[in-house]
Amino acid sequence: MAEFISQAAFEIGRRLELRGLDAESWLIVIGPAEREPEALDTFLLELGATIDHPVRVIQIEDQSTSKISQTLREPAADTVILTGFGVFTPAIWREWDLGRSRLERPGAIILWLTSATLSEFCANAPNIRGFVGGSIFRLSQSGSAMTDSEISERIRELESHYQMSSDQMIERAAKGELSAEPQIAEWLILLGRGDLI
Amino acid sequence: MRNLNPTAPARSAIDLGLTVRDLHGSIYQAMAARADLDPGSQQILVGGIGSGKTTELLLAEQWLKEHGQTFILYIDITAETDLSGLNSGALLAGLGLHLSRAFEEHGSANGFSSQERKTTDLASERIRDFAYGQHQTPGKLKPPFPPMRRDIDGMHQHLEVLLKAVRGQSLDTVVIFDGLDRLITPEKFWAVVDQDFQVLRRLQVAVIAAAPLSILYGSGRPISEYFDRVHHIPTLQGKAGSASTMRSVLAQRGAPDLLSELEIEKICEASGGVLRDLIALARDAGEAAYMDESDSIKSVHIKTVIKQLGESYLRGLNTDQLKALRALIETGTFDVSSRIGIELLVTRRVLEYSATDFRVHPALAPLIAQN
Repeated sequence: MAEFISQAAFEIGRRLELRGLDAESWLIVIGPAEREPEALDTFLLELGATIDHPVRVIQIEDQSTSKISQTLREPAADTVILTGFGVFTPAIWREWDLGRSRLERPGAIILWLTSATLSEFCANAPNIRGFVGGSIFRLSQSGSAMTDSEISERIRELESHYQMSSDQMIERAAKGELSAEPQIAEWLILLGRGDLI
Repeated sequence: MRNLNPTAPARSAIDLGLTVRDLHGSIYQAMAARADLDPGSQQILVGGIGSGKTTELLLAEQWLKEHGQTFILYIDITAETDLSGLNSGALLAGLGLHLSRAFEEHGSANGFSSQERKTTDLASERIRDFAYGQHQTPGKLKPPFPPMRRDIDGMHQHLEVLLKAVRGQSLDTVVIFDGLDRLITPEKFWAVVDQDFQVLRRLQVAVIAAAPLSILYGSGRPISEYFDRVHHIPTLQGKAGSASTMRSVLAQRGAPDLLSELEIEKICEASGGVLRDLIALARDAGEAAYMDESDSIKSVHIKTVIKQLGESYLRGLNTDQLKALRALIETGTFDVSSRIGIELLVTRRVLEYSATDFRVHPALAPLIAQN
């Protein structure tokens, strides 16, 4: 069995919505190596489409918690993806861990880590790790947890549930006739029509 | 589900009635009563990450407001400033700023003569200079500089002015410092608190402070002996009635609406008695069922979330730590005073159930065996 379960961006979004977008959630997404910014861009786009709530990316580099704290408060209620932890030494992780209180905010914080930076984090930031708990998810390579046949199967399920074909759904979405349910957003993304969300 | 939020601010969880007040045998009452009756006393509260220290400190604050004859200040000093430079004076600066603000907000200076007002305003100004720095001199709440004894003794006078005004209203001052437990080692903790706490004792300000768990063991013990009282929050399992205590924590948050008796039992066991893990596992199990579009939480969901938690504890362990964990599982041996032992305790890979009963976190133990 894989180390951590894999989740697509829209699944992360559904989790955040279930918890409450102002519930001070902390979670970790293990993305591909940081030299692949496209994966983060895709994740940002799909997450933003799923939760219909502002999402932004903050590049950490070697910023202190004081500086990041200010950025996290302006605004404080959106969902933030923190990235750029490749430069973090154990000492910087420990400094962040000590200053965990200054990072706390109503909006969700997603730490975008690689497998290597995840190990450094778990070794050196036990207080922040305590907030994350088991909310650590691998982003699958394709950005979706599903194979082609799984996608087809899922689309069939959605068509059956909503009693309409995918074409009918797209037509209604284009006219703005559909409610903003997570499953509708998921359906549109699976069909490659995230533009209609 | 929203009541099962393991990272909700402790203050809002208390206000919403989600906390079980006598969870740790009313430690908060003991701390508050001592602080109320013994001005200048200094107590520390130690407990592992996620054990509920902040909740106990806030309950103590609440108790003092309701019952005590005190002017009480709760300060999460790690939210105010960066302590990573181990700078003495930061606690005094934080207290001074809070006192000044309290004076301004609550009009404590009402009824003062103009001379008294001038004196308190000047003291507040000097405190701000000490905290944030003057033109030429760096402050205590900026990137650290070596502490100056003269500097801290000077602060004594300015704080005394404000405290005298508080005493003028027949109140003693109690300060609760949260966040100091994140200094992790006894040496770092002592480097930050030593001089400041000496000043506070001379000023007859009662102190209750969160302190690192490591202070109970090895090189921490001499430091713990400085304090008038050391309160320890142990992990919930391992003491009589702990199973029903954990159930009551989940019941207070509505978990029985989501989970069967058997599932609650599995979650209680897998949490190891770590309060935050207990709440998180219940939330995560509900979340897993939702993601699975299941009508109810099933055994597979419980298994998944326990494994997720265990994997998060497994990550980042080095070979020495893994060896120590294996030895604890296989032979029951564990050197709590060693550097490795303290690391494993502080990071909750090992849980303390009593002074002699240490066990690997139950979510982690099966994964150690597999590795």
